Amino acid sequence: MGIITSHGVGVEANWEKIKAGESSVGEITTFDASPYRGRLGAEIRCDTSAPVSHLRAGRLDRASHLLICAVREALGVAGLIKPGIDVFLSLGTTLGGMLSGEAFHREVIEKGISRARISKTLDYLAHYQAVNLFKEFALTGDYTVFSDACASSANAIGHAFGLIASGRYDVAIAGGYDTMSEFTFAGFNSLMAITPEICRPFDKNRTGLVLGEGVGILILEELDHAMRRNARVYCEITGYGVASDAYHMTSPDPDGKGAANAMAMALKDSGFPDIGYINAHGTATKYNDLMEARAITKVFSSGNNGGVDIPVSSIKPMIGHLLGAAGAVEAILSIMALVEGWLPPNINYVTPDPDCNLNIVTVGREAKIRALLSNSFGFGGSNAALIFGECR
Amino acid sequence: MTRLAVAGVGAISPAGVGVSTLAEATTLGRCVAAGPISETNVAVLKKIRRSAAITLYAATAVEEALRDCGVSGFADCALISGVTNGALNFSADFHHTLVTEAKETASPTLFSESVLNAPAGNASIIFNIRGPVYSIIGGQSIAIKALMLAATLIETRRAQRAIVVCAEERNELSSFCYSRFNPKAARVFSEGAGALLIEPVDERRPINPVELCTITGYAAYTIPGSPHLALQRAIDGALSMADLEAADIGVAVSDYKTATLFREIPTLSFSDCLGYAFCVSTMWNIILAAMACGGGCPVNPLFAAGLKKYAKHSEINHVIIYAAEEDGDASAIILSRVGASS
Repeated sequence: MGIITSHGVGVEANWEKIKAGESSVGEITTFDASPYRGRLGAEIRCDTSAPVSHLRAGRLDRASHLLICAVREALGVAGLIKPGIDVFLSLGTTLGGMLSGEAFHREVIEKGISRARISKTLDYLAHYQAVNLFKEFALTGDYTVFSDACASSANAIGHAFGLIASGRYDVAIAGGYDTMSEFTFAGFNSLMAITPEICRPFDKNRTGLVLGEGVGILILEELDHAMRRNARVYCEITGYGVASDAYHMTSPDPDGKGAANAMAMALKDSGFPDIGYINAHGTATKYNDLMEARAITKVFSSGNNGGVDIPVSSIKPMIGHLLGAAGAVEAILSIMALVEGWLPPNINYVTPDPDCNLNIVTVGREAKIRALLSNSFGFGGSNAALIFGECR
Repeated sequence: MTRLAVAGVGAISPAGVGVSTLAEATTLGRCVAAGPISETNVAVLKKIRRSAAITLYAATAVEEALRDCGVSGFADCALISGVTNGALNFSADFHHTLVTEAKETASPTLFSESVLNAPAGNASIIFNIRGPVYSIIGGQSIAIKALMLAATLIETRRAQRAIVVCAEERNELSSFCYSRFNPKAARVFSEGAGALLIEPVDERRPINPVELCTITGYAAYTIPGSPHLALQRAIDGALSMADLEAADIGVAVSDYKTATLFREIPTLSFSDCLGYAFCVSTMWNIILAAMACGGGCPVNPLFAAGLKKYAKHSEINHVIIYAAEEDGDASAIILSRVGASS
């Protein structure tokens, strides 16, 4: 696995801060956020320029640099890619190389199209970061880039899982990425989704989300293939569910039918394991959290008080909402929860919302988990759920 | 492999609304002034009147394909949208607002309708599609990859049937950039959408009046910097999956200019008629090939004309459609006449 977030570079660095319930949300510096309702974000502040061998570093979007760094970490841990092995690359992103797009559009407006650097547009395209990975790591195989808003990388992982399960590939590189850009920030601001204060998912007084940036990469491998080469196996992916709301472009279905369908499908796919933890999408917008709570209750309600006993938390108050990267980064951190037996806290949760009758993990704690579920929902009514279980 | 049928088609292009206009333009070899499209489906437009052109085109094509397959109710249907550039005009307007106007006044509609999954999201809402809905991004190959993804969803029983749509809209900035990147191509840029509904052969409804074709093979392959080699691998993979030899192929359809892949088989391209619309061009190629395989459709004369000097191919049983990009991404799909064997 490979990961970069505002918490830092690498799985260990991220996991230690997540375990401790630290937040790396702060004032945005990438652009002037003063005109907006909210000014907070979770930015990556360390140097992430990737050393490259087969690409021109100066022409790469920040997204490509982040991806290359994370893939390098993941491949280093997996110790896998050798010439002759075809891999399936499955990525999710919301806006690809948007920082390059912003720079290009600004130059067009300020200097005119004939003087704008069109080289900026190449890595603006949302599939070009995948092409760059193929070039840099001399990969062969095939790739697919999903852009399903905030469910992008969960779908990318789910699709790669399906291709390996069906025997078409033994190895896949799966994950997602997105960078902090003013385009995205202004967009969510215009939708009144960004909070002017701290992010507090499922709290009665929640006021919206905080955007972040990052990348998460998982190396998926057919289990026997991995065992034969004595690879370190973190866990098994055992289920994937996907369904659409067919309701509204930017608002979730208030009943959570699509989200519940995705979770139910993942559970069925997985053989109905005993879920010990739910990593919620938990954006802290009024409507998303209410919808997600209803959907979780619909699928998991124990029947006693109508509530759900399974521990639930969202890590977005700590590293922000990573949009296209959210599903992958949260999958990685959920896997760490499984491996280390530790539930990540839902920080900033103070006042329970009676309409979100969930067992929120307010303080991180030890717990033996055999299987967990990670939710990702997005614009356009995209709903995805992944289930990870301990390796049997 | 689950046998899959193409059970519905839909299109909008500079030639007009509907696959019949697409077929007529290409059959007659009539060059169509590429974009912008002035005509759309009015019934569809009403529901998404504030959306970007790419969404209007996608919805128009999807509506026709759904109507064409003669099925009502699409709750278990998947929707796969292939996109190369997306809603560039809305995106440019949003960027313009951020640079030149009060940033906090930026329109939420411009933002939400400029995201890459807006065409798929809106289509799922309009047509009540509640199965998997994906948007995948790429160049000309993405139309074939979208069909491959749809086929996987059906095979793994995540969906009963799937509609695949590709859509693009013209944009001054992108036309300028692509022309500068590849001036020798001298492309006339175009816009529009194409949609295809696929479902397992044994679940097809008898009410569909036109037997189109079956999907018998497909593959995609990427080798950085080696598009020709990648394409050869993709074609070999598709032929192997279909259990066919290259000689079994009646016609190849592609906008990728290569002379050596199929020496004995006519290779057709329709971009001279319809302009270059990125992934949509490949989808139009697939739709026209599906109609040719279907028999009795108006596009057949074009294929027949292309076949004149190849007497042994008096009947088309199998058509291969392929696409490749200079960066080394390639894909191929084989459509076969219903009942044709290898």
